[in-house]
Amino acid sequence: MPTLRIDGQTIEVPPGTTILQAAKKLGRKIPYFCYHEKLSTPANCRQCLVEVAKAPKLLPSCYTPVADGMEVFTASEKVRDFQRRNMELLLLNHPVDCPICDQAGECKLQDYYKAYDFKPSRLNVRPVHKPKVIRLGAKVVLDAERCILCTRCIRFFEEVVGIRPLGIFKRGDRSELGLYPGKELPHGYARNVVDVCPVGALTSEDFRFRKRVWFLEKTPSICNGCARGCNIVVEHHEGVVWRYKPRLNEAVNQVWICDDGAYSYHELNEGRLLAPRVRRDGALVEVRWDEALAAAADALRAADGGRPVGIVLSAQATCEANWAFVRLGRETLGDVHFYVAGRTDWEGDGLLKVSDRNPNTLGARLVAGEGVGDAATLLSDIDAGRLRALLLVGGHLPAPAVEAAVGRVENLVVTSTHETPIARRARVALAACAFAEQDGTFVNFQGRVQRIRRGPAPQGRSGPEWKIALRLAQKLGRDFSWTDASALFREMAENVPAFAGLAPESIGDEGVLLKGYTAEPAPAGSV
Amino acid sequence: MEAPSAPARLKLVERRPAREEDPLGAEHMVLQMGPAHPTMHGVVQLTVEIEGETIRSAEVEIGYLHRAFEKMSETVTWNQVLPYTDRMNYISPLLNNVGYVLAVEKLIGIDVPPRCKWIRMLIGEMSRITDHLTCIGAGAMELGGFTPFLYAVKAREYLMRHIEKLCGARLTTSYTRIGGLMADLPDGYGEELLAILENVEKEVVAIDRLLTRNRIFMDRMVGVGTITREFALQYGITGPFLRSTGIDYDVRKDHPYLFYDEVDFDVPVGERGDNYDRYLVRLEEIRQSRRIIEQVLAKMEPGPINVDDWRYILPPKKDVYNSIEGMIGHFKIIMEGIPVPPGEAYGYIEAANGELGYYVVSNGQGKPFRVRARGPCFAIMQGLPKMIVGGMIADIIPTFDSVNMIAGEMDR
Repeated sequence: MPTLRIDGQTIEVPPGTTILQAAKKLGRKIPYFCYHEKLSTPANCRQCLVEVAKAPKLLPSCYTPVADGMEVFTASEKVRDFQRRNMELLLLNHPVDCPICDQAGECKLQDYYKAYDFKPSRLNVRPVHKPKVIRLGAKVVLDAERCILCTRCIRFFEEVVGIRPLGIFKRGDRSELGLYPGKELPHGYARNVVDVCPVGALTSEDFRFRKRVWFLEKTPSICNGCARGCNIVVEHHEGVVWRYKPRLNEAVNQVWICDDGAYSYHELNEGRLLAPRVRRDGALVEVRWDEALAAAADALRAADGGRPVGIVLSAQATCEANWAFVRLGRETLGDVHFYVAGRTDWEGDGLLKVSDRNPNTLGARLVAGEGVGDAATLLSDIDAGRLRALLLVGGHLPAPAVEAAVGRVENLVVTSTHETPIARRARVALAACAFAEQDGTFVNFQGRVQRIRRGPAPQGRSGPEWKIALRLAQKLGRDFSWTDASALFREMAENVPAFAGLAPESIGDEGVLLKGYTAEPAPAGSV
Repeated sequence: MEAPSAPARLKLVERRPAREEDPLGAEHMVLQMGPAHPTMHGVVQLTVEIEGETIRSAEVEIGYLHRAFEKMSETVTWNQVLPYTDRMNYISPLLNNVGYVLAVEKLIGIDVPPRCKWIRMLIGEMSRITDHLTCIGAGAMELGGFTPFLYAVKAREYLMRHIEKLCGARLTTSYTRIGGLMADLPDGYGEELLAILENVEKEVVAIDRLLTRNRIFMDRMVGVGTITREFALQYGITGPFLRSTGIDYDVRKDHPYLFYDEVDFDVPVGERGDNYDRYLVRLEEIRQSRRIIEQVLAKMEPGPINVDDWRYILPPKKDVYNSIEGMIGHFKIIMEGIPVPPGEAYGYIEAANGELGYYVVSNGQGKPFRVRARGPCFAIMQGLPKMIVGGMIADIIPTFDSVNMIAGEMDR
């Protein structure tokens, strides 16, 4: 294994490692624009050049593999001078757009100017102007003047998605990024180029001008769009979520996210059920929690001929929430039939999207244990009149027929995050807070348990489902001791075989495979 | 009649209960002077236990003007701390500005251009004069001499207007910047200042004639509020208060900063360490400050006033709006704060009341980790109880005046 010295520190790395990768291992910072860990390396921005002893010129650290005995300097006078000059060239025709550019505050040009350049401009001729505000399709907007021609976007589409809509046209300082004639960006994964672009050349029409990034608080979480459970960062400010950004998880989504998932944050801010409601004289009326829970307890206890209660666990809710309702059912409601249901499937693709449109189907099934039913058995049980009451966790059901059947149940209690049609048919509707507003875990389709974390506070008077279960159980005469989601996770670890030996602290930011599930193949199309 | 119960901290010493031959008896009275009181400069509370007119024990309570300046400094960027410093010693705010930036520049390790240093000396001495004028004038007024106060404030007004010409404000100056100044001197500033100082001198002469050999003034000030050299050193007292005892410690001479080692000036000292000596020291310091200003104006040359580094100094607006470099430079300074390397530094100046020090600690962020301001009158106020015990209530006034306690600087 080659051994080299970087700025006086020795390190041994596998052959084929580049200088940049070796420097990263040592914590040495080298600036770069065009390099991206998941894409090919064109070495065209030249910002990462370093000095290597005995080499006649500075070498691109992103591209040059290490050699045994190499001596590298990442911060010598020559390197610093070059870094400054390179920044000067990159900034030469860059428009003075910071006040109107989304990237301000998270822009590599700004950061590197401060760190490596901090000198005035020497441009004394007219700058080159290029087209601005070009809609590329799929909600991506191009500003060709801001582009530094790093080609990350071109390479993303080619290497990850497998298509080639973008290219560089013209030459020299007139070079422009643009769409090939007749092409446009397809919806699907286009939004990733907005994240991948180091400057404000590619922006998302969805986010443009809506929020300055330095206001955003960042909370790591998991996308609830489908069962892949892509790792995201929920970026929010003052209780409102403004966007999702993907974060790194090699095993799940690498650093990508699908467009549908990325834009699903709008759900958090629209159509929410913000307070519990009880049906009086035919209409649902907002009430205090105490009254709503008492009414819910009454509905579930409704005594008539000793039929069992049905509890539909939610593939949208956390493991902790589902476990709480499992215990509530088993320990307060006597004979209970459990089912798991969620949103209707959609079409998966070969990349990230999985056809199961729920983040926690597997988790809900695991905590429910053996004998748990699904939407089909639920439908048949209702039609046969076998249930005296139904507690529906989560306001979504997979098929209209099921929804219609559930709507006919008289003693229907629903916990829902949104004002869904089924929530409007309930006798009692309890307001649950969204996944981004609570702590908990989801298990993705490959058996990986991952943590979600509370970002913004629960909206209105909503609360996490497990807490609703806790207080509902109190009304039904049982005092559980759950103080937070971690307490519930620890219970799950003791009682659900798949979770054995796990603790909330041990899950980490990248999740952990549950017992019985093996390492899954990486998503298709990745490098 | 029940005596009001004194707070537990005060020791009630003598007490003579009423007897037949002494029907009134004698009890100590506890008198609260402050925090809102005509002769308490700023807000401070003096609780004295008196026997007749004599003070038997005293307790000073400060903190009424505590505004958490040091804590607030941790929440804003390095340059945003500057307006807080204005409001410390609000009679001579420019001196506070200078002290703070000297500390941070020391931590960063940048050296400002010579013209910047000369100007900082200039404004420092102007501020010193305004501070001493205020102290002397207010001191005289509270002893009954209203006229010298008006003369002093009239002279101060010339300077305040001149400061306003420089930076637009009399108190909220915020004139210095880390790495330079807000702006250069306006044209003709120096010549006008010299003319103003002549007028100031006229008023100083008038005050001198009214007070220095004034029987009433001398009776009230000589031998009152006397401190010894040991006392002053023990309490960490600096400035005119210290120099009135005969010790000639002046930060400008003993630890020169800016270009104070290139100008000639004397450091007036007293002998007895009483209020009268402090008055004389301050009066003479006004004249020495004028001497310094004249030399500074003669030695100053045209040139840049800011370091040439857009990481610290805001780029000129024409660059901000017309070049991306200027735009980014401006953006980064405003949004993130200037880059100050991790470390600690102590910056110090001779302020009007003594050594004003700023101890700044950085953890590499654009906001300070800690800014500790050492205000000179904090040390002096510690000794105040000892200075007034044994004297009369009426003696508190001149002593407290000559302390020149500025609550903004003491409490921060």
